[in-house]
Amino acid sequence: MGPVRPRTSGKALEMSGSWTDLQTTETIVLGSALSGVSELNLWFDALAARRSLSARIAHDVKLCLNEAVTNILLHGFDGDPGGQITVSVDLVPAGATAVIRDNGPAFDPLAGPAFVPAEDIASAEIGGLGIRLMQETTDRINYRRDGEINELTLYFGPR
Amino acid sequence: MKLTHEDLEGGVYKITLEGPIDLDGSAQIDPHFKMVADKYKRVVVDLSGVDFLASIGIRVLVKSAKTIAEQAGRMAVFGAQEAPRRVLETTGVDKIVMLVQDEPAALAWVRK
Repeated sequence: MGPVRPRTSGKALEMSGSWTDLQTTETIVLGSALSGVSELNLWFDALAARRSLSARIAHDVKLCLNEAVTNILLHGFDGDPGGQITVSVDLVPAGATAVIRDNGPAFDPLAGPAFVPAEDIASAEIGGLGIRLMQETTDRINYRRDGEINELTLYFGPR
Repeated sequence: MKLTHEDLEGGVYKITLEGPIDLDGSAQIDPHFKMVADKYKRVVVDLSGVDFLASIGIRVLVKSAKTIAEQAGRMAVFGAQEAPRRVLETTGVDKIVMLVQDEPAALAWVRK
């Protein structure tokens, strides 16, 4: 299992030229414990308050970070004590870019079958909702496998 | 995450949730919802105190609604704030779990 390389570049969003001038990156490193999601949320809530994010963008970024990190903890690491997740967020007044890197098995969340909403409660499946939320809440998602690392990049435009 | 509950007239069981339903929150409420879904046929869930709802929390609601429906019962969710409501709508859960504005509407539906 390779080391997690921290993200060093903060220029991921090219939708607006003014954004790159204002970007700063904040990062948190989590282990494989399920309590990592609570740790993530405390960190992000403080960040959102400190940076005076609008309620909408703060919610959407937090939701997608929760979905991605929860999925890695429950299905990627599956209790592996060597698991590590690095979450980096670039915030600008009108949007954000988030990068989630983990050293779990290769997993492309975009490669699964398209989400099909259940028609009724009897036929409802209990899965796939997190990916659906990330796809619908972001402007764009990129996944790549970088050596032993999964890298998921989430783009949030103005809202 | 805080969960309180009360028995109402007509065999209705009311659950009130407060706080975020993230991974930790869902783990806290899941055992109670399992117990309720196995035991009650008329359940209303007050989401007005929930400021954050992730998919792991939606699973708890859907599993419970499904179990209750399988026993010919009804579960209704009411009072969802804007962000949790948007999450429920985005996942299509508002089409399969009864989502209403307030408690009287929820009670009316489960007592039908």
